[in-house]
Amino acid sequence: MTYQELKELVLAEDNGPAQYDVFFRKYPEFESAMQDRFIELCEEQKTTKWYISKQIGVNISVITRIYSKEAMMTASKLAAACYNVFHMSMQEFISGEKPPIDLPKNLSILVSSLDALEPEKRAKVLPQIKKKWLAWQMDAEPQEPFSALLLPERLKEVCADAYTDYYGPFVGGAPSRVFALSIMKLVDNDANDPAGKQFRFSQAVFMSIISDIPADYFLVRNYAKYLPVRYRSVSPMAPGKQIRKKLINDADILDTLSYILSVPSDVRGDMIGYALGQCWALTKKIPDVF
Amino acid sequence: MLMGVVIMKKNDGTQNTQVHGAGSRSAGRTVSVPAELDQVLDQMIEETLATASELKRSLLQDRYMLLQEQRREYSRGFKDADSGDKAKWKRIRRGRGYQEFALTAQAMELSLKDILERAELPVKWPNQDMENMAKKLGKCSEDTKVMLARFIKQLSPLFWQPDEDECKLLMPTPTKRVIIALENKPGWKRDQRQFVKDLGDPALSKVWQDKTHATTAPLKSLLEAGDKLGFSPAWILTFLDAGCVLLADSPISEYIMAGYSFLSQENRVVFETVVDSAIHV
Repeated sequence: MTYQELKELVLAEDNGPAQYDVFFRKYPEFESAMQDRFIELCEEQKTTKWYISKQIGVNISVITRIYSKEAMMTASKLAAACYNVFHMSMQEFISGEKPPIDLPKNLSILVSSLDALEPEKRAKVLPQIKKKWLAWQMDAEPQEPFSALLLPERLKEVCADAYTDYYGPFVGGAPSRVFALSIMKLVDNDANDPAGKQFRFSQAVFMSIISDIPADYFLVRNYAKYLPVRYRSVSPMAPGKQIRKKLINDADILDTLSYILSVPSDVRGDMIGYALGQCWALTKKIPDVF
Repeated sequence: MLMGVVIMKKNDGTQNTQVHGAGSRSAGRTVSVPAELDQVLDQMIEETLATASELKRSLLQDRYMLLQEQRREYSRGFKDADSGDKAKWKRIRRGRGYQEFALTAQAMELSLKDILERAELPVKWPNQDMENMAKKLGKCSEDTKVMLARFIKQLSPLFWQPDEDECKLLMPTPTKRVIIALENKPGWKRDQRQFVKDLGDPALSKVWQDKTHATTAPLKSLLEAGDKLGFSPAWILTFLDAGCVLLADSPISEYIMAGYSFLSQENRVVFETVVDSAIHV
């Protein structure tokens, strides 16, 4: 079963999106297809089980169990496998596609401000942002690049931008009670709670299908590494507020974005504000993004 | 009881006061300020006129006459309208509307905060963060404030913005503002329910339970709930839509503060850093 087939089935249920709890019991083929893909990619890479287990930080027995189709690893471990072993995004692993991720409002404003700068001015601002990042990194604790604990932060970000409750991103009404409860548990729990670490792979897939947001956004700190990223801008030529989404193609801006995404949420606000202040000092302009 | 009290002004100048309970169908659609508040405003206008110097008095009287004339024109327009519109007028528009109330006070050079305080409806910034931000904005030049207002418009959700349809059409009254903002507030639905429960205000609970949004709550309850939710009082009372000042130093600061109250924690940090750098530039 492919991702597209699964997506059609999930969205075609009579009472809105399928019930997560019954769905994956009803269609176990998808999980088995993903196990096949994992094995196939491992064989393509010609990597040993030991190397994979070292790269993603699991016991070698977990890899053996996936090979014998007895288990599937947790979502964050799978993200680590995709990024560290297969060098692809998680969404690409799941669906074979690379859909773009839309940046949140604050980063959209920053990227469009940087994009609007003349090259000489941009060359002045970007190193300053990097300097700020370096200053933070000097005494910061290392951040986990893949973690289910990022999910609450991302969910809050999506909802705060649109001013909607946590059910808002799940199109077609509230997800099933069991699914909602599992997400609630993750959002409400402390960082040290084991429930936060056991975000299942199928939950990530289900969440991605019903919210139409690539799975990487919920689990990977620097999601701009293997997926294209878009920012909002208002077309100056079009009448009214015609919003268009532009892909970021500039390597320097992408590089700066990866620095900003690698810091935790509380530091990120300060960093974005600082970068915007620098752009503003040079241009005295705030771009339209909405 | 402030809730749902409306005054119907007859053609002969007499008044007919009607009290609508929280469950009344017409109460939710009432966009007029409570009669008590209207009376306080009239009283304060009288006092101002009595104490002002002769020159000032004549200026204020002219303004007041103009406002009254506009009000009569508005009523006449509705009288000439077809019966459906007339019925709507009777149902909706009996006292002064919130924005008309704020504009009248402003035209008569009265502080909206003082009027509300006199009507035993004290207003304040909901938290220390907002108070500090309002102070910082006081230090900014008008040009900087314009830039910051544009920035907050970009950064904050469209939900609250007075020129957006969502705000104009869905939330024309304070009750609707508080309830719809609470319903949509980022969080789980159970948190919102718990919030209303914790407030322990029966009027607000009744409004929360009425999914048709046809009931109104007293202003005092709404302001208290808004204070706990961290919303700008000028936005709740719809004074912001008319560009009036309630707590900030200028209409543009009031706009910025309303937007600030709808920002997420991360975006608040972004905004504060930008404001700090704008002050130093």
